Amino acid sequence: MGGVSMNGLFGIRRRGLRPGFLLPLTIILSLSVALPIGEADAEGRYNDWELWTSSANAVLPAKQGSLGPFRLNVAAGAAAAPEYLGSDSIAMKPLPLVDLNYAGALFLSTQQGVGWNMWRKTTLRAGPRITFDYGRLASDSPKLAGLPDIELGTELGLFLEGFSGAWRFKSDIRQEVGGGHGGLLLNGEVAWGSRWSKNASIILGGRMTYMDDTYAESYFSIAAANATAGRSTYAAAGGFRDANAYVQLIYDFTQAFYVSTELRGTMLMEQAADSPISESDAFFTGSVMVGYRF
Amino acid sequence: MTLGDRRAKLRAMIDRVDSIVVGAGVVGLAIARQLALAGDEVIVLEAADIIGSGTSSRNSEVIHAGIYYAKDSLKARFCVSGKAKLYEFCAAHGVAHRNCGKLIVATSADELEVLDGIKAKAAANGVDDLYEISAAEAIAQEPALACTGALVSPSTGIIDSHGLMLAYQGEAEDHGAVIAFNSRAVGGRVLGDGIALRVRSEDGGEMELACSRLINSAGLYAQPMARTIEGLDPEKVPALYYCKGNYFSLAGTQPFSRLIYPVPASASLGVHLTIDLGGQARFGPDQQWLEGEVTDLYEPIDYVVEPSRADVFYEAVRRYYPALPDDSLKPAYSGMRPKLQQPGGGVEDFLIQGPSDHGVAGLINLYGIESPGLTSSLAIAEHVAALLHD
Repeated sequence: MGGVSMNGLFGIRRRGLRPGFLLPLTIILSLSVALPIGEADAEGRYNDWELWTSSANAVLPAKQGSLGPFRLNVAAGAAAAPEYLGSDSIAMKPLPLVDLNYAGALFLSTQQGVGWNMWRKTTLRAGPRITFDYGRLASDSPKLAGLPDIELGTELGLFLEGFSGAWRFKSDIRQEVGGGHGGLLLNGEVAWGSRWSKNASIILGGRMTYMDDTYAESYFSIAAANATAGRSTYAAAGGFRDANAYVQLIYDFTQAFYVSTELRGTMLMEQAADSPISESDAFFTGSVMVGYRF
Repeated sequence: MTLGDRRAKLRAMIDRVDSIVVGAGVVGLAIARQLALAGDEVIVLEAADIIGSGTSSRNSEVIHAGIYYAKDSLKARFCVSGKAKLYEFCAAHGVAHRNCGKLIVATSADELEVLDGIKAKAAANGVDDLYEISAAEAIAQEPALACTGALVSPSTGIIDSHGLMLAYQGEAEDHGAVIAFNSRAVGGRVLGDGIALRVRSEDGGEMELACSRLINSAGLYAQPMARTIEGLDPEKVPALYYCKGNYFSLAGTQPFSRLIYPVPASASLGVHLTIDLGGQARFGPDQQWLEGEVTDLYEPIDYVVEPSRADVFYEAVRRYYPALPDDSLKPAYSGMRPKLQQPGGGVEDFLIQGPSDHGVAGLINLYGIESPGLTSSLAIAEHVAALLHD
């Protein structure tokens, strides 16, 4: 978590895998999702930076930092993703990433929030952190017109991350407390990574998110006052929100300078999928980032 | 400074535009578009923060043929001419719609006789494409249907009402119209050369805005709005009655390809089945009369659909759809009709009052704009523009 090096997980072994075609293919696919020029709408507020930028700091090569105990990873790029979670319209999102880590213990990150690797073992890390939910505005899409805005939220949470060879396991729980959705989320993720050349790495992973009743009500319910001909009354209850699978490719031009790309397929589940505002139960997101590690 | 001088100075300070439309519903937007196309400087005042948040987005989203209304009534004229204009507009502007047709079904021998009257009434309105089919023919086309006979209305359709309003808004804005959201008209007064409106913003601030032409298309608030205009004879403002219409959606797949309407009763077209553009079925609206006129413009309207009302729906729908499963109806949404008649009072026409009706130059009040207001919107807009420019 928090910019902690993952060398031990993804960087040290070269497998027999020879997917020489995968890097250009995934970049092309991600670009085709991330840069649908002429079709993308204006940027919406659904900015799940935590997911879309994860490729940018998934692999950090062994490198003596030039900033003493500090390690800094900055990147910029773009993602193509639904206007809001459940929308069938694609919007372009800018992807800034600033990931600052102090001595492997503290992190301050646009991707992972603010946190502390309180418990650090060789193959396990855990600690508290604060993350942010960017909310949703009625103006993000005509489909949301008349619905109450969900304001920017602050989430308090705990994370746990484990490593075993080429495998990585992550889970976290977070409770929004700052005037946003007000709910609780539980995430679980597993990933496998390999380096197939001196400069290129691949990561395959999957993730599931569980939401509580409050979160479901904020994001997926429709109150009677807001129900219209195209959007019926709906009382969403907690349950699994979505499951997604992804492929990430990272190419290091130098030890510091890299490009990362991700293609992620997401399927909304249960009450989230059934909500009248969910126009599409399944969607792809794609992102491309260029970054530099100090 | 005399009182007259003060008034003159105040008037000089007032911002002034050609036309103000109160209400950004489907009819208000159609009127704004019409006036903007004609070159007017138009401001639309909308109390909500979005377009069409009232009756315009809480209806069956049906393009009506113009069947049921009294001959030569505004509803008949505007619905029939508006339907043709609407299909043309939708095609030209990419508004999602489907000319799916509908069946008006009789479920008894008595109702079978009523179908003849409906067909004759439609023909008198210029809707001459209706034709009768037997029960066997109807059931062959819609196997889940139960009926003793049916009328086919080929020109009936369905439409994305929000898409239509966005298209009206877009074209109006392209021609210079401005929509002021969170701007509620709370009062007005007749000037010698127009009308001044008091407009209250979301934060409670007020300003006065004058215009040469004022179109009161405030829907559920049209009468309360008109009564605030000093200089307009309150006797000219008709009584307003609210009739809530509740809709239930059908869970799961639905078996019909066309809209299914029962033979109408009283002031309603009955609990009918409509299909949205996504293929989902919904039933409604029923009639739930409310007491009293809205006097507090800030009081929210109760749009809750009581689940217990489903019992009446099951009974009404199973007359023509007997296989409707138990527990398949879910509360969907509700809308409010601005009625000009009391419960049991039959079908009243639209009431559009111009200067020759109330004596105030430049003022148009639209009352009782319920169904078929959406279908009629373009025709109403043309009519209003003609009244203003006569």
